[in-house]
Amino acid sequence: MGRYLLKRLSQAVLVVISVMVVVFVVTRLIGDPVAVMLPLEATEENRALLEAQLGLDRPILAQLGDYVADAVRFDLGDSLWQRRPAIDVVLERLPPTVLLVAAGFSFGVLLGLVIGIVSGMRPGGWVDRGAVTLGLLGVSLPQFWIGLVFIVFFSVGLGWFPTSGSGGIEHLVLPAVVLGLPVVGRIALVTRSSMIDELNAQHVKDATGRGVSRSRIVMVHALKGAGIASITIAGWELIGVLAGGAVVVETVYAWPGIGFTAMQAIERHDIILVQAVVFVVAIMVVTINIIVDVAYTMLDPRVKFDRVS
Amino acid sequence: MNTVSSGSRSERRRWAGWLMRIVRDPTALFGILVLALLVSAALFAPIIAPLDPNKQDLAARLLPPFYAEGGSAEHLLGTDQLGRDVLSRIIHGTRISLTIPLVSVTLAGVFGTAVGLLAGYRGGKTDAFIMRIVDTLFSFPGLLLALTILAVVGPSFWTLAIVLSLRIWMVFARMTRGLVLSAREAEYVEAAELVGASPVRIMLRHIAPNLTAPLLTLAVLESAHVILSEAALSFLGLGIQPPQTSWGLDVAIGRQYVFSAPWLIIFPGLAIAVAVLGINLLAGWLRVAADPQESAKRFAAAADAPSAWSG
Repeated sequence: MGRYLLKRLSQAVLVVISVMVVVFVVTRLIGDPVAVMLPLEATEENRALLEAQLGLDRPILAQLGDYVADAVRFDLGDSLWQRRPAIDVVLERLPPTVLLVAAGFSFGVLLGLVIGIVSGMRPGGWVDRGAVTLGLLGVSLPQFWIGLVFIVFFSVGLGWFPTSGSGGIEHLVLPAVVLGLPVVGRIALVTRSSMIDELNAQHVKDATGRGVSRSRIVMVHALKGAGIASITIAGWELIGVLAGGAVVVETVYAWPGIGFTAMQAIERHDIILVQAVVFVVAIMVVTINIIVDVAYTMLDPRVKFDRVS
Repeated sequence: MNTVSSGSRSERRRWAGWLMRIVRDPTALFGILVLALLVSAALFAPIIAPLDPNKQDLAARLLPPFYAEGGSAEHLLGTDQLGRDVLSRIIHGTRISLTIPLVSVTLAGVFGTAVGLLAGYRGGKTDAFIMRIVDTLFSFPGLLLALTILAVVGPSFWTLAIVLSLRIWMVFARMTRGLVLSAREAEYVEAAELVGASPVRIMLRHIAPNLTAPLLTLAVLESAHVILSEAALSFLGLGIQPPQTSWGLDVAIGRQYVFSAPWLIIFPGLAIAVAVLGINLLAGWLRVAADPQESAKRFAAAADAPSAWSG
């Protein structure tokens, strides 16, 4: 277990470093960071000054080395927009994102599990058909659009929730629901599918033959198998919510988290702040991956630690 | 899918059989109809669309759709803040919504399949090395990284298509590798190896036919993801740029008028939703149709293939 964790941790560090190298290559080699950051009317002197300030006039490999070395020490440079360490800006905006992601993800997983279990128990019935349609809608509707439609109906039309911003629990409801909708869809479809598999599996049929009650079979046997299947996909979903959905939903609802910050930074051509957001999200993503793998291994006795690569 | 047809007649009969299966299944029929509608809208946009999507008419600004008070048959779905016809913009928007996934999925599919074939067939260190890279890329923060790249490189049709294909090629690589590995263990492949068939022949004759159906299904499924990502990126201002039209871009424009002119966001978004739903249903049906074991769970198909993203 200890050796396994150590191996996973070193892999995680490698992933974060490669993300930063990709960002570096894209910003410094393919793009022109100075041109992106400066206004159109900037003079040659402005350019040279900013280049020297950012160290862009030095050899590229020296830049890359310093960049990775600084990133490992959580130093990503000063935000051009806020004029203070970019990492501080990101860490300051992190709590709202964690709150939103936690709320949206829990909503998505819980509702998805309930829908999946209920529809998987009687496949083909009208409850099942309704659930599958709902699941398909969840994965097919664009989040930014659902977010705006909810604003039109629930905020403008019915006046139940504020249109945007943060503050009380009433601000959290709409963005969290929108963030969780694709999760509801996918978790429901996967849980349903593995419920059907489990209920048809030999050990479950044997249990039925021994006279174990239906509710006990669903609760003990089928749910366990379905739970294992859902955990893997739940990890994927959490990563998708964090690295994708949150940016879109925070932007729609002006929710002051790191996704909204990333968009503001892009609008203000603050590449350094964008890099800091990517860095922090990359760390969170690899951490989630490790947690999911460990949870998976603990839940499913068929998987051994040394076998998971 | 592995049957080798002996002539054009049995080929035709097989196609007719597939056609009958599609018509009998309402979800597949819906998917096919949506796809046909999209393709014809994209091909014949200038003929079908009532007006030029970029023609401004400041006298007819923010007109409501036909069913609302003040709406007219001239602008069925209303007009935007510059007096451009919403319906015409949606019809022209199908072009981007279909060409981006077509280009991205083709690029990603060809590259990913080639990499997966290499990993699966060579095995050993090559396989371990390639799959390590693939696993690393799966841990990348998808949409956020795409946003960063597009912000720096500058959004355009081709940068968008390439960035989106970079995000999904690993899915094809991983699936191809898995399929090759399981096909290689099949008895008929071992038999072919024993009688001395060349690697190329084994690859083309015995392994490739097992790849076609699952990879095509994956390509359809990934197209739905790419449509959603393109729309999201265009909505955020880092995808398709004016004067080109895209559904996501139109929703972004309509966002400023969400209180006074909600039709500007409702209809382009509805177009995205219907397109993605149709393609998802088609992908789900394809998977079931290609795999008899799945038939019992027919409705479950569209979304449980793990994907590199959501957005």
